[in-house]
Amino acid sequence: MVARPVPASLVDARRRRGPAGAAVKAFVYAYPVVLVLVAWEAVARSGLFTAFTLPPPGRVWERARAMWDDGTLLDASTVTLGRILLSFGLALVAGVTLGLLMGRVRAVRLMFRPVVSFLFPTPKVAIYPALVILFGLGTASKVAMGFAEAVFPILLATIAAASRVEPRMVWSAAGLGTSRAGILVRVVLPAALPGILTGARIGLVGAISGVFVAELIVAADGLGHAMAIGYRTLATADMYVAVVLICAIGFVLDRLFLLVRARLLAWSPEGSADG
Amino acid sequence: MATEPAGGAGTARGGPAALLPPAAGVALLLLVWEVAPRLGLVRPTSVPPFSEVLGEIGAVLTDPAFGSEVAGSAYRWGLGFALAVLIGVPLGVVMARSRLVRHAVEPVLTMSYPVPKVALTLILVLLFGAGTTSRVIIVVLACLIPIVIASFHGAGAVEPWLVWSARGLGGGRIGTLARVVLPAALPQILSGVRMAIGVSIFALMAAELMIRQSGIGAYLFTYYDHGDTLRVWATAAVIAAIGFLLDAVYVRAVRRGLPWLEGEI
Repeated sequence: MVARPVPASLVDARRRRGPAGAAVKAFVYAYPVVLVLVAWEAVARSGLFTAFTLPPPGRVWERARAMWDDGTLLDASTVTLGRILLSFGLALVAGVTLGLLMGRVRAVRLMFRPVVSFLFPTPKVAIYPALVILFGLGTASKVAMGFAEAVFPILLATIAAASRVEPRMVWSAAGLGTSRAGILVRVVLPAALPGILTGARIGLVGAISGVFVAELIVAADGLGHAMAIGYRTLATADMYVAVVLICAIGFVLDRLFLLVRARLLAWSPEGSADG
Repeated sequence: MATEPAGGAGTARGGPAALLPPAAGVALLLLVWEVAPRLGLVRPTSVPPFSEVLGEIGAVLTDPAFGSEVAGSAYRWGLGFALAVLIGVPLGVVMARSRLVRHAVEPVLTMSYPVPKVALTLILVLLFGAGTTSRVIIVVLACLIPIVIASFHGAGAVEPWLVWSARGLGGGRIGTLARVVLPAALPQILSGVRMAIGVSIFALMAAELMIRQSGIGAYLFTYYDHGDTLRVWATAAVIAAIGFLLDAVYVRAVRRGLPWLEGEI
């Protein structure tokens, strides 16, 4: 169930080194972007939709420039990015801590399991209005939403990985006099890291979706709010600016995450095969 | 996975003693929910005590308006979900067996993986209106990536000699795909479908909260706008239970329908 995200290494060419490899890599990244832009331009020109509902890419680019120059775009992106990172960080700390305990301590696992198995498959966005009532209209309710979307993949991946750590490693550490807490932090955590990071990548996308959706539904600032305002004031090009930007933020964060992951897992088979 | 998230050793010891900690965990949570508003730790107007929400859940369930919104949401979700399975499974399987298709589709998948699909909701409303079409497309988009990836991995991991034997015995390319590769990839595909169920309900709820015209999400938001906190909490609890039940029913159905399936779904 903890499904693998797209392994970045699947395109064989990407593993090639040197200038030829770099060119192939650039092409592989550029190709979907070019595809989307060409299709967008073609559909916009075909007259299937009006320039109001589907402005051509050039028009959206102009709006993006204008919004960048008056500073609104940078403000909105900074607010949203800050919320994404905060909710992902909190989810990482909470998910890994609770996950290690649930994976290794039977009493903790039995106590929390019913609650976790109930909450995991439920659509967390349904509680967003309740979160706004609880935390108010500001940043707290957006971070809570991002956290709720991010924490469960991380938690479940950590539980699964922590419970599968080789018992011999734990025994050796215990035999050498390491305390239970020390074993958890110095033996179980590193051994479970590949699994944890797989869940964390899913959680990162959850944090991005959660924060953006929360801003779209009820907010006073951020990229999602910018999009909602564009919708209400019929400034359709602004909406496309917001969507393109959140997609770009998602893509860049995902790439950065893969880089960090490759660095952290350089020692393991997962690290050298992937990322 | 959700029904057995720990998945580790030593979880399945029976007896009444083993039931105690899980019950204690749930009881503790509900107790905090009940007591915190009553002691004034949180405002009862923003978080009503559990017992009051429980009473209100009855009112939500017997509300005919809620019933018809559920039916509408379920119809749109079912349509989108079925379309995603019909497109996603063949696409993933063909990707695993054909280099050309793989090289064409894979960069697009990698690129769209971190994109929040629900962010496209309002754009789809612009293009296709606020009706059924936009919502069905959102569900399809949300489901597609987990299903395609799972089918791709599943079909890619099929033992080559299975395929060779089938071809050697005179099976055609398409016959081999449908009769050998597809069944062998089924366990992974079913896991992907389970992921897709969760993701797509999130997407549909989010879309309905944004579009606010019809559906369960819109029902929830109407009461938020009215400031009826109790109804908001009760409706959220019902939606959460629906998500949980859907997942549990899916796992149960797969286990019953395919008893030979091993491991987690």
